Amino acid sequence: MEIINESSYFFLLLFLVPLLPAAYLLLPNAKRSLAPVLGGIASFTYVLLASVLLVQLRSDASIIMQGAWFSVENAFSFNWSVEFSYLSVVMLALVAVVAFMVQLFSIVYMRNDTHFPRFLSYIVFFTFFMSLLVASDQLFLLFMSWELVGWMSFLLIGFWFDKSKASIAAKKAFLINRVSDIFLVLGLMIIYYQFETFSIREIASLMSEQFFVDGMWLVEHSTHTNQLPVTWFTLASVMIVIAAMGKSAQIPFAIWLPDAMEGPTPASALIHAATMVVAGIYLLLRLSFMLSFEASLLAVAIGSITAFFAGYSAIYQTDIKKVLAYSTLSQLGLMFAAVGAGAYDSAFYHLYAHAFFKAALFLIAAATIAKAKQSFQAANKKQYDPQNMFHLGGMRKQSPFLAVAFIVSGLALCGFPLTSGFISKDLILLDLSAWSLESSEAGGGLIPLLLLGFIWGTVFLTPFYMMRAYWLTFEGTASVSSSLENKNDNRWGLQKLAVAFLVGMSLFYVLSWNPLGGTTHLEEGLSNYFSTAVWQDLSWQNSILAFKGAFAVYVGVFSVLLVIGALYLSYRRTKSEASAGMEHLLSKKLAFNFWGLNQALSLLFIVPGLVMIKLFHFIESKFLLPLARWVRSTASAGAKANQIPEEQLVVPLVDLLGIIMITFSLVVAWIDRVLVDGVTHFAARSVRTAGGMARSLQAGAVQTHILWAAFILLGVLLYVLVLVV
Amino acid sequence: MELNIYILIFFAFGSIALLGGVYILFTSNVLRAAFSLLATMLAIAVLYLLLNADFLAISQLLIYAGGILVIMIFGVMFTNRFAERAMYTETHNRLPALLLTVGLGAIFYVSLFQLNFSSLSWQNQELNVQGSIIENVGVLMLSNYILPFELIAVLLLIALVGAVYVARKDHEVK
Amino acid sequence: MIPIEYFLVLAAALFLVGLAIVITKKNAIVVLMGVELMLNAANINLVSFAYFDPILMQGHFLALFVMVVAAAEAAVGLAIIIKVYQYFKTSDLDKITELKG
Repeated sequence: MEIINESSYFFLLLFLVPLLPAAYLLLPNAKRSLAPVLGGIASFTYVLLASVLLVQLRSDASIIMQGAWFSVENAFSFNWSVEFSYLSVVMLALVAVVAFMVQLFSIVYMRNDTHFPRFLSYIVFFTFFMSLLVASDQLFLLFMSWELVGWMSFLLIGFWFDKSKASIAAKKAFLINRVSDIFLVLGLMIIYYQFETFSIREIASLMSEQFFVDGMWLVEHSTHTNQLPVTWFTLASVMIVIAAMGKSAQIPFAIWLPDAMEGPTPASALIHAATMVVAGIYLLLRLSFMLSFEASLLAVAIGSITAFFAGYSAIYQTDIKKVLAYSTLSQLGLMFAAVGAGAYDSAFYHLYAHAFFKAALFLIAAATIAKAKQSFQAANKKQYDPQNMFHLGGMRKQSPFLAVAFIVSGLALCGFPLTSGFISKDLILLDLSAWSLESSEAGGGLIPLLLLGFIWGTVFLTPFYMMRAYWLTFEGTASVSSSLENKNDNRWGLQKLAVAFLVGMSLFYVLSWNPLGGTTHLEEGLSNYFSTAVWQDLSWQNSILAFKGAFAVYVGVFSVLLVIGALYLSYRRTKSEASAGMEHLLSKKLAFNFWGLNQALSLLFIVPGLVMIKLFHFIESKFLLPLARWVRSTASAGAKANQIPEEQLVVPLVDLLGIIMITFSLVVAWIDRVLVDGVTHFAARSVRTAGGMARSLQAGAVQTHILWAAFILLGVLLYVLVLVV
Repeated sequence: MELNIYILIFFAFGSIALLGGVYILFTSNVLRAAFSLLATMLAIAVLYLLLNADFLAISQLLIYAGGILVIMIFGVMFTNRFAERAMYTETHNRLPALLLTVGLGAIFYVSLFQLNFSSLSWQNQELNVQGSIIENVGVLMLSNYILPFELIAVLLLIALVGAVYVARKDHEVK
Repeated sequence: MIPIEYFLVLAAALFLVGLAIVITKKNAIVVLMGVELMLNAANINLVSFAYFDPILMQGHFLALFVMVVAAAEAAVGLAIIIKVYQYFKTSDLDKITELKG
């Protein structure tokens, strides 16, 4: 391990350089003609930097650069620190390469958009923030970049902000992510309390010397020992898992990802498929030493449930981008489950392989949609939606290249042999099978087996929906006869290059020279990065290893058979579906809407407020008013019975009641006016006052300027006086 | 400290100077303010005499009373829109100004009385200044302070030429 | 002799009055008067300290130069005021808020 201090971090400054052209592209009057060159070069710079790191780094070393960041007087001082370990550099290279390919693709794809330069600039900024997230060794810095990539995701989902659906989806994604980020903050608080540092490296070294004694969690510092009940350790790791669930769109936070498809498709390829959404899994991998048994269990459960149900929903989607979105959810679920099962390396292999072929699939979808849009427009069929697979069809004839690319990357997603997906998925399957059988034996009962069932179900579902998507989009008869001549647009070449590269990267050699698995390229570098999970004892590890040795071949063969079977079944079913169209069974509707998760969440969090309002209304109309009527009628009846003039008994009672109700309503009105409105008015007024004061600085009224200057002088003098006296 | 004649003179003319300034602050008649400034300047000249600075006192009379004040009164005349009426000025920013002056005044007061001037060594040195200082001023001005003297002369020339240029009659008024 | 604090207090008071005039008065000429008052306050300080420096008389000379600069400032300032008055038809500073030339 090599620690480099402040003196030589000029290398890091190189990461900032591409932001200059990107910032230029953000300017409203940036030259459109410059955008492709600047954006392309900026993205390529990250590829170069990542390759430099990749070449420089020996597999067992890691470079750490750190420096003072900020300090709160005498209490805290924070360092920023960046770690280029094997894991982070591979991830960095992955982000940079995919971002560069997406950038190349968008240079052509987005060229007619009004905000074309802004889009390219966002991609560059995103790459930077993601690099920061990936490389940062400091949890605080990581959290900051975590928020920043979320922000870029918000901007890119809402890129076409004049589309109301897009802006709503952007807000939804942003807010749901905030909810999960609160858990990250809470988790970081516990971690900081206990470790008194945010540096992952230092936490790891402190963790290795930690003790769990008598239900206490001890962390030994040089001068003192911090201790908390073990529950806090569990709590911290569960919080981190929940935060990762939000970023990686696991149930129940999953609802933002399908909606995020409202953004431009290249952005979906980069952010909502290949890189940003895996940040949650990456975080868990970085903090794998922190994952307690409970947190791991949560990850496996959530991951396998998400994988299965998202995969099932993908079968019923009509929108091609939605199919890919649900498949992303499903694959993320697999990785999540693998992390929970302690198979950190397998999870990372799948993350790595998935990034390439999922980006490829999204780019292919983007190109297909663009082509379909052109031909729909040429045929003047406005009612056809170019994203709806039932309106597509026959795209193979229009673009054989795209069809082949879709087949290859789709097979990689399914886990077909000779692809990278096969290798990584196989490893995950093996690990999860071992995990579930072991934990079932260790007293888990049926639940681990059920989760395993979900995982294998996912393996079956993936080819099913991919075949369906392929068939509906590329085969069959075209809904619009392609009158458009496939012009040899020379710019199409750039798109083709990006797609071809990513498709090429979804074949087996990316992970391993052996098409059937075996040792992967990453294994050597990662082997000393991931230790075994904290909750695994020695006998557990041995039985897992034994299981793997015995069943590796069977798992592989069985999964391939499953894939082929699913492909065939889906082929049969889709042919009939394509002719019959969608039926609307309840189960289908449920699956189409992702099991009503949206509705369930709004039922849980939004409906209570509405219910309260209804309740108050109910109390007033059904209880208070009848009470008043009842008092009046009984009083008048009593007056009649006792021969008392009505005015003496009834009128005072009714008056009293009236006074009570008026007082009550006055109180309510006061609360409404002073507390509810008052807060808003106060906020508005203080903003206006502050704005007026700020404006007066620039209003050209010379005496006001003198006044401000004199007040500043007053402040300075006061400060000096306080210092001296 | 015994009450000698100098203290009396200081208080008399100091209060004239201060009252003159305060009158400018509170009057709205511009011409009266100008004459009140004249009174202040004259009183300050007397204070200079108390401080053994007779050359400065004369200069104060010449420059302020004789020069600047006249220019100001000219200015009043030039910018008076209604020739038959006296010129008035309005005020604004009253509350911030009050806050500011009170604040600064408090700071000045506190910081002045933090210092014990009589403990400073140069305060108690023997001063045997007899007669006028004009001779000394003349010698110093042409020896030690010759460069600032030249510079200030050039500055004054430039300022006067500039003032004439700025205020000249513009022939191509649209 | 008169204690130096007396002069300093008087100068401080004159300075504050001048500052108040500069800030509150709308008429540019009165504002100029306020500036003169502040300069005079500074001069009083200079001269009162120079009383203890009869050989070099640095305070005297600085005060003298301040006077000359004040004279120049008054001349240029009034020239500008007259020009501004011709252009805006007012010498009220709060109405002259246009920053462009």
